[in-house]
Amino acid sequence: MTILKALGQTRRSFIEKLVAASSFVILGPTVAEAETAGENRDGCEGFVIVNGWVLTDEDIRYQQKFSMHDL
Amino acid sequence: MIFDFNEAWTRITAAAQYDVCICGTGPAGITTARKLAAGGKRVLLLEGGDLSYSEVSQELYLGKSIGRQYWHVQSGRLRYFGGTSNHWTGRCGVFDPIDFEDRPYFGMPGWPISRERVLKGLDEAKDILDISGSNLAPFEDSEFRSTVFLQSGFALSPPTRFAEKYEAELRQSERIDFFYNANLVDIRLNSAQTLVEGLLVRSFTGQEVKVSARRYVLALGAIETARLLLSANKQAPDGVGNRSGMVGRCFMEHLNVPIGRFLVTAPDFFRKEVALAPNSDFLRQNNIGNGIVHFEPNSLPKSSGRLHVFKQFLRETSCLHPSLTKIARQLVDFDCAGDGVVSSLIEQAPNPSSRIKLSREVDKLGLPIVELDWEFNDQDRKTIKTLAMKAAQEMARLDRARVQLARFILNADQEIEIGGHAHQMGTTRMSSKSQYGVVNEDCRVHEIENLYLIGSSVFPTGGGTNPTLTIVLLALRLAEHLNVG
Repeated sequence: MTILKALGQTRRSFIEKLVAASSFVILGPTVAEAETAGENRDGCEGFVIVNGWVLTDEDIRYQQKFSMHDL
Repeated sequence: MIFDFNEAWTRITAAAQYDVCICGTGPAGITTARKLAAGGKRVLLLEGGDLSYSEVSQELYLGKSIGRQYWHVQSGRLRYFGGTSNHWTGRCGVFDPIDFEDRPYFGMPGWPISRERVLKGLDEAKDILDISGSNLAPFEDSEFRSTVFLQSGFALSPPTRFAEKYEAELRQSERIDFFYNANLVDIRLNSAQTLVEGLLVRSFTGQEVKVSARRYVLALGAIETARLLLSANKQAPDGVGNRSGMVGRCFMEHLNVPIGRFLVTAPDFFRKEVALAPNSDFLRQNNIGNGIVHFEPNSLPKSSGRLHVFKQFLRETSCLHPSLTKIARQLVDFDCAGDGVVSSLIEQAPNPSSRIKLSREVDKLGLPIVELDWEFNDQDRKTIKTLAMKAAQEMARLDRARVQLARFILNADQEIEIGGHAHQMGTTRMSSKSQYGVVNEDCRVHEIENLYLIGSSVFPTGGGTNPTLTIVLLALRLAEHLNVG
């Protein structure tokens, strides 16, 4: 397994845990749409807040690779 | 030597003139007494409670919470030999340089003495508290290269129980006369109200004696010291040392806010304790107080009660499969290993509206019971929200965890859930100007030449770490000052 793949597995595992932990709803296809659907707050530029979770743009992009059925 | 004041109360009046009379046998009182005795002073040490816990003594700490609900008025402190050191947890850290600075956004002056002067007795204080190690201040963590947070530095005392550790020494001391069951009930001043002439001390059996010394030290904790000064109002209607009206004001706690929970993305990082302390630049840039954000993984989930076995089964099965976790949580709430909670210890700004007052009700000794009006302000809310948000961002940015913030952190219209850490501070704060405090740089009451206060009540600000080490450092400093005079 390449390092890249291993990192991908870690992030997938995290996203799965996140969904299970928080009834996290998968967002739209882009970060911009995720921000709209999420709860951006002052002082939290560069992050997206969804259901209280403070997430990175990369988190949002990565979860878009999964369908809800995968999770 | 040690005496029971209930039985040996006459021995106080027969004793020789004392250089210093100290009321209170917690870390501040015992440290001051030992250091004075080592310097050759004759010390009268008084403890209101017994040698061990008793309900009769403890119920004298009963008080009312009339502001924000405060659970520690009675249970957060102990009224017997050794004081609250009998149940402290032992965490020790030194205050940061910024904690001593004037921070204009707090609206009150900072410490009138430097950090260097406070830390002068650090080696001696470490011996007293049985701590070692050098990481008592926040330090850079090579595994967490944040531009905002350091790792909180601390040492754990066993924890030192002052009564256990020093009872034999006090029994053998020829310079310290220690009376327990000796309750301070009044402070008598000269006619000009510039000198203490004596303290009225009462036993649980009704005997009352006026004790005298050249100088007096109250080391009763932030609630009780203010209470005794305010209630000694026969000669000074507003209480002793209270011409500026500052006695009892600026009651501070370390705010205990449940910031949220987290999911680990780098499990190895959490094999050690993770407690993040903001750096000074960040505090200055954002005009906020200090604090610690603590990440506590549920590596060993605990539960009890009738559902315990069922929850344990769910952990061992469904936690391995997140989709099952989601379904199982519709049946019963439970934690999986790898989840954790984010707690905090956050500095409260000195706020004159947060204060100790006296009730019209009195206790069995005839002293008014305490009313604690604990208040927070927008400065405190800003500190809490800024530290919580930044800690969540840094954990995500450095990919160590993701944090789910509590709703009250994100929603401006939702009241923040705030508790305390039983760290009561600030009610007789230190200031070079009497308008902003009760004691001066030497811990002497501004308007009284021979009355000193010691303990966390004199903290002008509360800093972002536990207070006991600083209490002991200040006690050593006071004793050094009194030994010279």
